[in-house]
Amino acid sequence: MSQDLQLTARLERPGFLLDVDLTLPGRGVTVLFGPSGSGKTSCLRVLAGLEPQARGVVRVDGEVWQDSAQGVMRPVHQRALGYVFQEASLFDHLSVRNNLMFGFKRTPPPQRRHAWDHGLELLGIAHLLERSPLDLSGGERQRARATHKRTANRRRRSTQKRDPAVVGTTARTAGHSRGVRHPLQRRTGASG
Amino acid sequence: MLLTPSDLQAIGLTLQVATLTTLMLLVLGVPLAWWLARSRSAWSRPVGALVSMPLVLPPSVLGFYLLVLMGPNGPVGGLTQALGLGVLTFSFAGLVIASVFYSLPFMVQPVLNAMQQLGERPLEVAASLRASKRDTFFSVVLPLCRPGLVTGVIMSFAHTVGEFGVVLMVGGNIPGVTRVVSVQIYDHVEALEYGDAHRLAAVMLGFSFVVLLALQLYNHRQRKGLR
Repeated sequence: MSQDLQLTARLERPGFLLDVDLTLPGRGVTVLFGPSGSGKTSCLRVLAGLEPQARGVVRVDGEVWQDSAQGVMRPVHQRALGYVFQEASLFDHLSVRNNLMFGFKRTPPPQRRHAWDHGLELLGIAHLLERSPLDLSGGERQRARATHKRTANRRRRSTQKRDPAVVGTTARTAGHSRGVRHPLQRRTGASG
Repeated sequence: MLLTPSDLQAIGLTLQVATLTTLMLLVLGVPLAWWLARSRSAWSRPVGALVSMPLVLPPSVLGFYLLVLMGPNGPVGGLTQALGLGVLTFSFAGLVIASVFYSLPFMVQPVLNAMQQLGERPLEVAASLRASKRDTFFSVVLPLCRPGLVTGVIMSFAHTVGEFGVVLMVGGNIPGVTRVVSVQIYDHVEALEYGDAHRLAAVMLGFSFVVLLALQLYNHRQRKGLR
């Protein structure tokens, strides 16, 4: 039980109300799906701590990350998670290499789960390292972005999240990114 | 050299005041801009208006109030005297403090604009990559706001070099202490030394043009870099 992920949240926005009560397994891959505007992204944002005004409880692996009744709000940077934003979100002031290093060097070495070269090799972006994000194509940005997260690593008992609402991407690119994702999970064990 | 020794002294003093003022504005103005950009406090609006006031107030008005505040009978003057620092009016330190107020909007505005244009996303990305707020400010916010910072530094420096009214009110006209270039030109004209006034004024004219041209070229290059 304690390894579950509990998300009970209420978040009001103009013209939108998120009201969820979820208990999800703390292991494996969980897919959240639904029509556009149904609140998938909002759920993930609450989980990540990007919605401090959300009321409710977020509990992961027995740790309370957020509890509005108790006034608990663990800041985003102290939550063990990786978050791939819907659009490519590289820092324009850093080279691709330094973008990847951003999360990597902020992860304490014992918590790093795989080597620096590993993610690069998997996504085939080694040749892009010295470029600026401003010089990348859309697809190249997405790959660099995904590696951003892979190299950031995760704590062992952490929850993997990936925003599934890839709004605006075609089935082909969605399939492509899935194809990239599977070997990653198999080889890094990041899904567990 | 065509410039008189007192002209050179005034130029040296002006550069000192402008450099110190710009450094102080970096330390004070950048965090202030960040607070203005992020704060949801009701106070941020009045503070924002106050910061912009030196843009519209006559320098003599700003200078007058600073003179009253820092003077021997003003609250700030009382405090500095109690601390054994003496009175700040008609001193170099007082001139720098007055210049900080005078040039504050020239630092805060460009930096604030850059910070507002950042949006939430880079901050959220940084947080999801385990960067604390402080870490994010130094490793993401400041580098991404660099064009705004460069503009702020250049404009604050140039604007401080060009101040006149505030200096007269707060600093007076003491050679080597508060007699900056603009005041020196005024002195030359009053003494009907038009030739001297011309030469010094031409230096200011050239300086201003070069600084603003450099800023234009920098901004042009930045835009081209971003395509």
